Amino acid sequence: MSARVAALPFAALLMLSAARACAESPVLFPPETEGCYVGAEISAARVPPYRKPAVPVTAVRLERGHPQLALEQEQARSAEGGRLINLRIIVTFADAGKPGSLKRYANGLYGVMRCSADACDAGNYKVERQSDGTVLLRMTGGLNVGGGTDNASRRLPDGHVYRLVASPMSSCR
Amino acid sequence: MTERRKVSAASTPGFVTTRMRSAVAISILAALLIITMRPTYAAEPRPLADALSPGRPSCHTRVFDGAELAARPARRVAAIALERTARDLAAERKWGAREEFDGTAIVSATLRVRLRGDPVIHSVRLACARGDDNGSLVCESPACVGGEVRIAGEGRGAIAVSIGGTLKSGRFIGHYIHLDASCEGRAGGPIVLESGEDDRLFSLAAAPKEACQ
Repeated sequence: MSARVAALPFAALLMLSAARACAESPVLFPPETEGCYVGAEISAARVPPYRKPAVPVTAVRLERGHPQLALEQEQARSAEGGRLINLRIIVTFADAGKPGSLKRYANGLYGVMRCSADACDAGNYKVERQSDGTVLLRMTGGLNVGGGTDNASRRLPDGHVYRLVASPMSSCR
Repeated sequence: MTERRKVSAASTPGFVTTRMRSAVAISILAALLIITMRPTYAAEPRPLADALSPGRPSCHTRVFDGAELAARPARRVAAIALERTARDLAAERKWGAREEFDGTAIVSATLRVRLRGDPVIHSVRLACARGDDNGSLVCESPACVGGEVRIAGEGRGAIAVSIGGTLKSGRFIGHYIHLDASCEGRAGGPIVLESGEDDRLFSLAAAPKEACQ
C-alpha cells in the first residue's frame, strides 16, 4: 500500500472530526476559533455566467485564521446587533496556473460579515450553515475577487452558490 | 390604508420622476460620502521607513547556527532573509503612484527561507500593506493569497518577522506563508512555512546585500 493510499483514512478522519466540530458548535464561526471550509459550485443551471473571462470556478475556500481573528478582536461591536466576523474567500478558477492566469483570487483582507447563529451576511454574499454541517456560500449581489500585484480581478456573479465542507486548516493553505 | 396611498401616489408619473431624481441624488451623495470617508493614507508616513527605506534597497537576515538549532529542536527554519532590490523599488514606486486604501500594497520584498535539513533556499515575493496598527506591515504572496507574515520594526534598522500571533485572551493562533508560487498545484503539496512551536518570530538584522544573495 503506498503512503498516499495509507494516508487517505487519516485525512478522512481529520476532515470528519473538523466537520463534526463545526456542526456541533452552537454558532457558525464561533469567536476565537479558526475555521476552514473547502468546496465547489452547486449553482442551478440558470445563473448569470462567468464573464471576462468566461471561466468557471473549480474550488472555493473560506478561511478564518489568525489575520481574521486578530482583526475581529479590534472591531467595535455592531450597533445593529449580531456578531461581526471576517472571512477570507479564496477562489480557484479552471484556468489556474495557465499563462496569464493567477493561481488564486481572493476577497480583500478586511471583509466584514454580520452573523446570527446560523448565517453570516456581508451584504453582497451570505454564508449559511446547513443541517449536515456544510455551509453554503451564496452570492446575493456578487463579489469581486482579486489577485497578483496588478490588482487583476474576476467576479463571482449574483446567484451563484457554492457548497463547502468543514476541513482541517491545512486544506485552506 | 397608508400603504394604499403610497402605492397610489407612486403610480403617478410626476411622483416617479421626483422620486427617481431624489434616489439618484441620494446615491451620488452616498457615493461621495463613502469616497470621502474611506480611509486613505496620503499624509501618513510609511511603516518601517527607517529599516525598509523608500527608494533604497535593503537586506535583512538571520542565520541560526548549529548550537541555536540544537537548543530549539522544533525549529524548522535554519536561515531567513528579507531582501528588497531595484525590482522591488520599481514596484513600490508604481504602487505609490496610486491612492492607498486598506490593504493596498506599499512595500515589495522577497522572503528567502532555508529549512533545517533542506539545502534548497525557498523564496517567495511578498506584497506588503500597512498593518492595522499602522506601524507594521502585513505581507502576503500575491501568487498564493491566503497566508501572511507580519513585519515590525525592532530599532537600529532591525526587523521582526512574525507568523501567526496571540489573541488578547492569550491564545496563540498559528498561520503560514507559501514559500513558492505553486500554491496547491505542486504534486507533493505546497511548500509552506508554518508557525510551529519555534517558528513564530524571527529577528532579522540589517545586512549588506551580499548576505541576501
